[in-house]
Amino acid sequence: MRIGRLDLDGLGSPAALAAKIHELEPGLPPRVPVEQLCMQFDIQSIGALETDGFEAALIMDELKASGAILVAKGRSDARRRYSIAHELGHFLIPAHRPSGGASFECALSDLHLLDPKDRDRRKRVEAEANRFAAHLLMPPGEVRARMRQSDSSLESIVAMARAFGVSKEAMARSWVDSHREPVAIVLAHRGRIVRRYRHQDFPWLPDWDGRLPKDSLAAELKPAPGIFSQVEEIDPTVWLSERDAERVLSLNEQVLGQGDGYALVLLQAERDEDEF
Amino acid sequence: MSFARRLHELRIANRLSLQDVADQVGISKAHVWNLEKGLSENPSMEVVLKLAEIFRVRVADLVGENPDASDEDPAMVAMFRDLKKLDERDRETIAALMEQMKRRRDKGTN
Repeated sequence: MRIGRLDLDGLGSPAALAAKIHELEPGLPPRVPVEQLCMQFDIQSIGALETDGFEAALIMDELKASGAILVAKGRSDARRRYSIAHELGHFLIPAHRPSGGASFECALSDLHLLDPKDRDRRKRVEAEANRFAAHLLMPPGEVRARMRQSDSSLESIVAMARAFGVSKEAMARSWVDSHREPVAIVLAHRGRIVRRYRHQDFPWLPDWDGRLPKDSLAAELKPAPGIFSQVEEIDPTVWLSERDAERVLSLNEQVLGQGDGYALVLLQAERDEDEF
Repeated sequence: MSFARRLHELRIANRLSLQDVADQVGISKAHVWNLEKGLSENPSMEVVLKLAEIFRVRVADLVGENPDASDEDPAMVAMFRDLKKLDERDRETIAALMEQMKRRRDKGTN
């Protein structure tokens, strides 16, 4: 590996930085060697920190001559890799500079901030680091190529997550972003909706009091960890508002049971083109 | 603020790449990088004059009011907002890591 920070000269956006890395290192395996890349980019060490207060931290001098990354102990390999890529993003994105003695932290909740237009600078900075991490670990072109070779299902998402060495949720997020059809992913914990990722063409998902809709496949089946349901057609009003339900021809749902009461739900809508 | 930081901020504010500045000054991209990272000796007056011209600032604005004063070591930053959330052992780990990085840096620049 020969790439270095000088090769990234003139690039500022998270996506452009990640794309340049893949362009200059075309032989990278699907499971991107993120720690090796860190060393190429002047990250001197990657260590562990015994804390539950933070996911990860970046230590550096204010000129960003060199840095070190600390990751919370006891995290899964996929989560650790994502955290390292996220901190590397802070280090490489020129605009991410600690100012006026204020430092920024990456709390667990920040890893799910996804709106880069967020006005709050800190949130925006965290969203940009997430974007870099996603594009570095799951290059959009590679994701789309794999999507073309597989069906649209949770099994495919899980297989891709394994190949890229990322969590199922991180993979699901990128998968939704890269999809050409209106799809959505819902993460639930013990029946409560934790997060949702919606393709721009997927109808708005009502709040449903923060719980899985009672007639949804996910609420009814509660599959055991590692068990995938079939993809089943479901009444669109179960998940959508009456108005939006009228604008789709059909809605399919699939659910995957995960450990500790978590579940991943895939929703796929077929839109009524006359309505759009 | 150090010369290195001022140079970096001026370059970014003017939306110039390292290569753009290098080409206009007549030095290598790596040289500009090292100046921004505080990894090389102070630049020659000729380079400073060219840089001031590119960014349209006074030389004093670029190198500080006293060019003979050596810049302070760049501060180390831990990107935690609230260190109170960390236990003593974690703080010690961070402090030791910072110290180690400082030593490496000093070794590299001396």
